[in-house]
Amino acid sequence: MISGKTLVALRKSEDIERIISFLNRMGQHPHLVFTMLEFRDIADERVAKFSNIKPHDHLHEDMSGFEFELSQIPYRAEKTPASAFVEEAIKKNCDSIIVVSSGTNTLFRTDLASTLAVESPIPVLVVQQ
Amino acid sequence: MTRDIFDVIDNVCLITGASSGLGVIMAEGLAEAGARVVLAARRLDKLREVSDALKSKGYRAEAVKCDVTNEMEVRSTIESVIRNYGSLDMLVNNAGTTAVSPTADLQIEDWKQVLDANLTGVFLCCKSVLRQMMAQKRGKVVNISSVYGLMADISPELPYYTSKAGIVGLTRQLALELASHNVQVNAIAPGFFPSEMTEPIITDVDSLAYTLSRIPMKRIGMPQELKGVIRFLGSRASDYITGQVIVVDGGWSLW
Repeated sequence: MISGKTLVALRKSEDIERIISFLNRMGQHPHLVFTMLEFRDIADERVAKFSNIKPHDHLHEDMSGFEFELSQIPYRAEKTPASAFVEEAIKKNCDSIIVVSSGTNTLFRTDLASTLAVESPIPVLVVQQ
Repeated sequence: MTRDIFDVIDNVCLITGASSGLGVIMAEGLAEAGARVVLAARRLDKLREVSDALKSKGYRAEAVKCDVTNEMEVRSTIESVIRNYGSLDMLVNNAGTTAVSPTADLQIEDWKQVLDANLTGVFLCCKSVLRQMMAQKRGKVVNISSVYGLMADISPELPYYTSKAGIVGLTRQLALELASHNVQVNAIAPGFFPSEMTEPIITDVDSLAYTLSRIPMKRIGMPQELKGVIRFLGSRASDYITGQVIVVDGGWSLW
């Protein structure tokens, strides 16, 4: 049972489709907070340019039955991505976090999902690729 | 008043690969400390943007087009610096590139391109400045290696790791050869800093999560955190240090 408010930690926009499909399959409809990192002020443009994807550019899925909101976290890579998402979840009073596992980093199995599972005091639901 | 031992005022410093990334920051760090910086790279338009930005702040900077893999171009660039400024106090070998591919699929052209730029380029630049530095009886050479020159990791970039390890060997051997000429040769091994090369890893949240899991300080390096070490290695404060690799990595290589 996934109830209340859930922060969706987005690695990329494709995760939205995967998570909505999973929740529909499970018949669960929590309030979703789609959240992405916004890479900002990491370096000035002479050093490197950082492009950002916004979650609202990618909400093509049928979202009927879901209440949701969009959120972006200004991020300078001065903390782990997991801790940035956890702080946001706490700030927004979320009851849980959902994340898609990368399933690709096979040598050490370290990705956003695994680090969230370690760092988060809030329950984390990992959706496999 | 005696000069500060960290002073690099009026020193002539040539920085390769200065059109973007860490080269920009190191050039800025030296220029801010009063050095006359000559910025070298293949992309003259980008170099000019960097030198114009430095000049607009009142610093002394010049942009020179130079492909470090081309011996003739390297030699003529260095001769023109010596002719124009009368000396060359510091060479920073920063130009570099990479090729990401599992080794089984790696093309020989990609291997050669990375080794040419990252290692042969350092050799050519060093070779071209040494006579001048030996004649001056002083000089500083700083080669930019990487933590990947000291350790392995999961990213499949064999030519990059190999070239950066090669820079460590080159630095030690050249330091020994030049020690009696009062020319110090050292290397910096940066860890994970923002640059054009690392942008794809930083913006891929899974890759970044993995990378930061390896760094005890749990953050990437801020470019300005290289300014102190480059000034130190360009100043009299480092006169008794040679053949060393200074690792700037938030503790990444400790475990």
